[in-house]
Amino acid sequence: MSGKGFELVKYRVWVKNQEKYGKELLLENVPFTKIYEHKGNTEFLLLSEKYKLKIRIECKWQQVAGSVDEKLPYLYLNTIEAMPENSIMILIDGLGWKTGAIKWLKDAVKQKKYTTEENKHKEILVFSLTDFFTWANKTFNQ
Amino acid sequence: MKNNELIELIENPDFIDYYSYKEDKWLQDANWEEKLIAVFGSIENAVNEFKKDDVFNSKINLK
Repeated sequence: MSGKGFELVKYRVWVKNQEKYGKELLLENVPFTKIYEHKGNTEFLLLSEKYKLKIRIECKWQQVAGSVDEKLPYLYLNTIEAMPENSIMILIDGLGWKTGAIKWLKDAVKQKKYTTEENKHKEILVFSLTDFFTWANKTFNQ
Repeated sequence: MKNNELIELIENPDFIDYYSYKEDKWLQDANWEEKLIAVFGSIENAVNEFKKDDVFNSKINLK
Protein backbone atom coordinates (compact mmCIF):
# COMPACT_ATOMS: atom_id res chain seq x y z
CA MET A 1 0.00 0.00 0.00
CA SER A 2 2.99 2.32 0.37
CA GLY A 3 3.17 2.24 -3.45
CA LYS A 4 -0.32 3.75 -3.45
CA GLY A 5 0.81 6.66 -1.27
CA PHE A 6 -0.15 5.31 2.13
CA GLU A 7 2.09 5.72 5.15
CA LEU A 8 2.29 2.68 7.43
CA VAL A 9 2.12 3.70 11.11
CA LYS A 10 1.37 1.79 14.30
CA TYR A 11 -2.06 2.87 15.58
CA ARG A 12 -0.77 3.39 19.11
CA VAL A 13 1.96 5.73 17.85
CA TRP A 14 -0.39 7.62 15.54
CA VAL A 15 -3.19 8.09 18.08
CA LYS A 16 -0.89 10.01 20.45
CA ASN A 17 0.50 12.36 17.77
CA GLN A 18 -2.05 12.52 14.99
CA GLU A 19 -0.97 16.02 13.95
CA LYS A 20 2.45 14.68 12.92
CA TYR A 21 0.97 12.46 10.24
CA GLY A 22 -0.76 12.97 6.92
CA LYS A 23 -4.25 11.94 5.92
CA GLU A 24 -3.38 8.90 3.79
CA LEU A 25 -2.55 6.24 6.31
CA LEU A 26 -2.47 2.52 6.86
CA LEU A 27 -2.57 2.08 10.62
CA GLU A 28 -1.31 -1.17 12.13
CA ASN A 29 -2.62 -3.09 15.16
CA VAL A 30 -5.87 -1.24 15.62
CA PRO A 31 -7.79 -1.96 18.83
CA PHE A 32 -11.49 -2.55 19.34
CA THR A 33 -13.68 -4.10 22.03
CA LYS A 34 -14.95 -7.53 21.04
CA ILE A 35 -18.52 -8.78 21.50
CA TYR A 36 -17.39 -10.54 24.71
CA GLU A 37 -16.12 -7.14 25.90
CA HIS A 38 -12.50 -8.20 25.74
CA LYS A 39 -9.73 -6.31 24.00
CA GLY A 40 -9.25 -7.16 20.35
CA ASN A 41 -6.82 -6.09 17.70
CA THR A 42 -7.19 -5.81 13.95
CA GLU A 43 -4.24 -5.80 11.55
CA PHE A 44 -5.01 -2.55 9.72
CA LEU A 45 -7.17 0.53 9.47
CA LEU A 46 -7.02 2.30 6.13
CA LEU A 47 -7.66 6.04 6.37
CA SER A 48 -7.85 8.19 3.28
CA GLU A 49 -9.08 11.74 3.05
CA LYS A 50 -8.40 11.75 -0.70
CA TYR A 51 -10.55 8.71 -1.41
CA LYS A 52 -12.94 9.27 1.52
CA LEU A 53 -12.22 5.86 3.01
CA LYS A 54 -12.11 4.49 6.51
CA ILE A 55 -11.84 0.72 6.31
CA ARG A 56 -10.84 -1.71 9.00
CA ILE A 57 -8.94 -4.61 7.44
CA GLU A 58 -9.00 -7.95 9.22
CA CYS A 59 -6.61 -10.54 7.77
CA LYS A 60 -7.31 -14.25 8.06
CA TRP A 61 -4.93 -16.84 6.74
CA GLN A 62 -5.01 -20.57 7.24
CA GLN A 63 -1.90 -22.35 6.09
CA VAL A 64 -3.13 -25.88 6.81
CA ALA A 65 -6.46 -27.24 8.07
CA GLY A 66 -7.41 -26.61 11.67
CA SER A 67 -9.82 -24.72 13.86
CA VAL A 68 -9.35 -21.17 12.57
CA ASP A 69 -12.35 -21.49 10.26
CA GLU A 70 -14.56 -22.24 13.25
CA LYS A 71 -13.93 -18.67 14.38
CA LEU A 72 -15.37 -17.12 11.21
CA PRO A 73 -18.89 -16.73 12.68
CA TYR A 74 -17.31 -14.99 15.68
CA LEU A 75 -15.36 -12.71 13.37
CA TYR A 76 -18.51 -11.96 11.40
CA LEU A 77 -20.47 -11.06 14.54
CA ASN A 78 -17.61 -8.81 15.61
CA THR A 79 -17.69 -7.01 12.28
CA ILE A 80 -21.39 -6.23 12.54
CA GLU A 81 -21.66 -5.69 16.29
CA ALA A 82 -18.33 -4.63 17.71
CA MET A 83 -16.05 -2.97 15.16
CA PRO A 84 -16.86 0.74 15.15
CA GLU A 85 -16.21 1.42 11.45
CA ASN A 86 -18.95 1.23 8.84
CA SER A 87 -16.66 -0.47 6.33
CA ILE A 88 -14.79 -3.63 7.17
CA MET A 89 -12.73 -5.74 4.85
CA ILE A 90 -12.06 -9.38 5.68
CA LEU A 91 -9.01 -10.43 3.73
CA ILE A 92 -9.12 -14.22 3.75
CA ASP A 93 -6.77 -16.58 1.96
CA GLY A 94 -4.66 -19.70 2.30
CA LEU A 95 -5.09 -23.36 1.42
CA GLY A 96 -6.27 -24.72 4.77
CA TRP A 97 -9.88 -23.57 4.93
CA LYS A 98 -12.48 -26.30 5.34
CA THR A 99 -14.92 -26.75 2.48
CA GLY A 100 -17.85 -24.45 3.13
CA ALA A 101 -16.11 -22.06 5.52
CA ILE A 102 -15.47 -19.15 3.15
CA LYS A 103 -18.77 -19.80 1.41
CA TRP A 104 -20.55 -19.50 4.77
CA LEU A 105 -18.84 -16.18 5.44
CA LYS A 106 -19.63 -14.78 2.00
CA ASP A 107 -23.26 -15.92 2.28
CA ALA A 108 -23.59 -14.39 5.75
CA VAL A 109 -22.30 -11.07 4.42
CA LYS A 110 -24.50 -11.20 1.32
CA GLN A 111 -27.62 -12.08 3.32
CA LYS A 112 -26.71 -9.63 6.13
CA LYS A 113 -27.22 -12.49 8.59
CA TYR A 114 -27.89 -11.56 12.22
CA THR A 115 -27.90 -7.83 11.49
CA THR A 116 -30.30 -5.40 13.12
CA GLU A 117 -31.73 -2.03 12.08
CA GLU A 118 -28.73 -0.42 13.76
CA ASN A 119 -26.00 -2.27 11.89
CA LYS A 120 -27.48 -3.50 8.63
CA HIS A 121 -26.01 -0.47 6.81
CA LYS A 122 -22.48 -1.73 7.41
CA GLU A 123 -20.42 -2.64 4.37
CA ILE A 124 -18.52 -5.89 4.85
CA LEU A 125 -16.15 -6.94 2.09
CA VAL A 126 -14.76 -10.48 1.85
CA PHE A 127 -11.69 -10.56 -0.34
CA SER A 128 -9.00 -13.04 -1.31
CA LEU A 129 -5.52 -11.58 -1.86
CA THR A 130 -6.20 -11.44 -5.59
CA ASP A 131 -9.54 -9.68 -4.99
CA PHE A 132 -7.72 -7.22 -2.74
CA PHE A 133 -5.11 -6.30 -5.36
CA THR A 134 -7.84 -5.89 -7.97
CA TRP A 135 -9.83 -3.66 -5.59
CA ALA A 136 -6.74 -1.59 -4.64
CA ASN A 137 -5.74 -1.06 -8.27
CA LYS A 138 -9.27 -0.07 -9.20
CA THR A 139 -9.84 2.16 -6.18
CA PHE A 140 -6.52 3.99 -6.04
CA ASN A 141 -5.86 4.42 -9.74
CA GLN A 142 -8.86 6.68 -10.20
CA MET B 1 10.41 -18.03 34.48
CA LYS B 2 9.59 -18.03 38.18
CA ASN B 3 6.29 -19.58 39.17
CA ASN B 4 4.92 -16.37 40.69
CA GLU B 5 5.74 -14.44 37.51
CA LEU B 6 3.81 -17.01 35.49
CA ILE B 7 0.81 -16.78 37.84
CA GLU B 8 0.88 -12.98 37.63
CA LEU B 9 1.04 -13.14 33.84
CA ILE B 10 -1.84 -15.57 33.35
CA GLU B 11 -4.02 -13.72 35.86
CA ASN B 12 -3.64 -10.49 33.90
CA PRO B 13 -6.70 -10.14 31.62
CA ASP B 14 -4.72 -7.96 29.19
CA PHE B 15 -2.17 -10.73 28.84
CA ILE B 16 -4.94 -13.27 28.16
CA ASP B 17 -6.31 -11.03 25.41
CA TYR B 18 -2.81 -10.62 23.99
CA TYR B 19 -2.18 -14.36 24.28
CA SER B 20 -5.45 -15.10 22.44
CA TYR B 21 -4.40 -12.77 19.62
CA LYS B 22 -0.99 -14.44 19.34
CA GLU B 23 -2.47 -17.96 19.63
CA ASP B 24 -4.89 -17.18 16.79
CA LYS B 25 -2.03 -15.90 14.61
CA TRP B 26 0.02 -19.00 15.45
CA LEU B 27 -2.90 -21.26 14.48
CA GLN B 28 -3.18 -19.42 11.18
CA ASP B 29 0.51 -19.62 10.31
CA ALA B 30 1.67 -22.97 11.71
CA ASN B 31 2.32 -25.89 9.36
CA TRP B 32 1.18 -29.48 9.92
CA GLU B 33 4.29 -30.62 11.76
CA GLU B 34 4.18 -27.65 14.16
CA LYS B 35 0.49 -28.19 14.87
CA LEU B 36 0.74 -31.95 15.38
CA ILE B 37 3.67 -31.58 17.77
CA ALA B 38 1.92 -28.78 19.72
CA VAL B 39 -1.35 -30.72 20.06
CA PHE B 40 -0.15 -34.34 20.33
CA GLY B 41 3.47 -34.01 21.43
CA SER B 42 4.77 -35.89 18.40
CA ILE B 43 3.62 -37.11 15.00
CA GLU B 44 3.74 -40.68 16.30
CA ASN B 45 1.39 -39.73 19.14
CA ALA B 46 -0.95 -38.09 16.61
CA VAL B 47 -1.22 -41.38 14.72
CA ASN B 48 -1.66 -43.45 17.88
CA GLU B 49 -4.26 -41.17 19.48
CA PHE B 50 -6.23 -40.91 16.25
CA LYS B 51 -6.38 -44.73 16.07
CA LYS B 52 -7.13 -45.15 19.78
CA ASP B 53 -9.79 -42.45 20.18
CA ASP B 54 -11.50 -42.91 16.80
CA VAL B 55 -13.97 -40.18 17.70
CA PHE B 56 -15.44 -39.98 14.22
CA ASN B 57 -15.70 -43.74 13.66
CA SER B 58 -13.27 -43.32 10.79
CA LYS B 59 -11.95 -45.92 8.44
CA ILE B 60 -8.37 -46.02 9.67
CA ASN B 61 -5.82 -47.66 7.46
CA LEU B 62 -2.71 -46.37 9.17
CA LYS B 63 -0.08 -49.03 9.93
